[in-house]
Amino acid sequence: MAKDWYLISQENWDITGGDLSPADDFSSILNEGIGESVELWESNLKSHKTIVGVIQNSVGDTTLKTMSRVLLTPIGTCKAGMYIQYKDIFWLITGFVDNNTMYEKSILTMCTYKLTWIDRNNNIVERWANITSASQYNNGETGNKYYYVRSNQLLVWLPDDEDCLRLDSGFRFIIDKRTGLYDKEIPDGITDKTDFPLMTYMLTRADSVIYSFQSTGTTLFIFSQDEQRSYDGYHNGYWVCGTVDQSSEAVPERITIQSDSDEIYDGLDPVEFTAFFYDSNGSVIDGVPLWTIEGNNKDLLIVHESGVKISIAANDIRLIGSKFKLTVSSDNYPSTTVEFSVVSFM
Amino acid sequence: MSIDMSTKELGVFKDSINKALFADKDIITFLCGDTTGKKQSEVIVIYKKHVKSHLFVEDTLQDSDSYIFYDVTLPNVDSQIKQYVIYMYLVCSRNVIDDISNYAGYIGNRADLLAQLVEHALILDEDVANKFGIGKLQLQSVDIYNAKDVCGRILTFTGYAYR
Repeated sequence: MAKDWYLISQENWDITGGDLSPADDFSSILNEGIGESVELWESNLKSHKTIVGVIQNSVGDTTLKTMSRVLLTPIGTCKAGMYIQYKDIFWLITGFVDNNTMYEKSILTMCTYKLTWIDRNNNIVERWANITSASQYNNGETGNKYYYVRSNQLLVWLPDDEDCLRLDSGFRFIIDKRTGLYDKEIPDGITDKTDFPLMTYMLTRADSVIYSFQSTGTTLFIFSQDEQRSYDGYHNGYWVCGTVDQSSEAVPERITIQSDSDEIYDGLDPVEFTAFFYDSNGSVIDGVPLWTIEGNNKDLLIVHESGVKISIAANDIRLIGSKFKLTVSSDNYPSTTVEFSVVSFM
Repeated sequence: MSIDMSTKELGVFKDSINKALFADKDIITFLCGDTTGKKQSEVIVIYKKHVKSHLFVEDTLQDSDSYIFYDVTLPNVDSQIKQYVIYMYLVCSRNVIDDISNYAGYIGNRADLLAQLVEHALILDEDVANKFGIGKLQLQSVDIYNAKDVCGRILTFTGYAYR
């Protein structure tokens, strides 16, 4: 029998003149077998309680309908932004919860992924989210002549609690069901692992008022796919991207010096040293090097600087056997030093 | 006041010879093959397999290839001037010596070609020839080197330097 058309028993059919209110009638009929026990979770997923309600639309005819439910509960039970755990699946209460004096109706939207992020206070935050495509017919790449970057976009539906409202552009997330597979591959005792390929996304748009019901509500976000970065991966039981500081607000971190050789042959071609500037994400960025050379007879060296490169040659037998220190420094970077020597071609 | 040692040019001349040969692109290609796109440090490794600053000893070559062996002597040292002699063995495996007959505008087998390339690098290049003591480096003789598995040329250069 469809629960929508369930006939209330005669003794409880008392709306038109009995002592019980319609709401009392609804509460009493829930105990007649029509109700189901579900878990009602606060939006922060920190506490929950068991409630009894009527789940409707359980047998949808389309894929999208199977991901939506209606929950009837006694008035004052649910609020938008809370979660319902029903059949071991988390559902987000997305619509405004109102009542008809007999019961209240909540619109449930199936959650498809549990988001995890590190907030600005370095706390781990977890929320179940309904995630749908915001670029359904995009091919997933943005082309350039020489490379492609991922360009998928997702519409992410979350509660509008404080943690979610504080999400801002630049926050990054791992949204990848493969993490469930990777969990099985991580040996016991390993707390950090970042070499799994992962789909990562960056929050690029937040709409906190479209589904704001003043004191309750939900928030919509657009996440744009970006490239996996060095920190992204498994850390202490969570699959998270770097913090905002680590990922979106990269800062100068180090300089390296690379060259073909640390030996300069007297009388031959110069050896070229190149400075590479890295930010805190591990990306190579632009920089202006300041080179210094230390060592005896350094003035005999033939030095030419160009951009991030310095070429050094020797053409004087007095230099043979000499050792030098080449240091590169730049604003906001710690300096880096390498050693080289001048050798005979013999 | 210190007095310069008589033997000081031995190493300096060898270094100059090495640099002059390495600077000659035809010699590099002849000995090392096509080095296009290779870094200098990579070419040096190949070059040093083919050019040695000591004389050749038979039965020590493992590859069928061409090699340059050289050394410097000081046969006469007087109070003011010393004579030096550079012996240069241009040695080729018999397996490959006749596999080409011309190169870089020169004609001959591998040893002949190598002799002409070396003469060009050390004598015809004025800047190089003037780096060996007093006056220019002189090519004194060109001989044959003939052994069981290898053959080639022996070039003898002479020059003078202040003691």
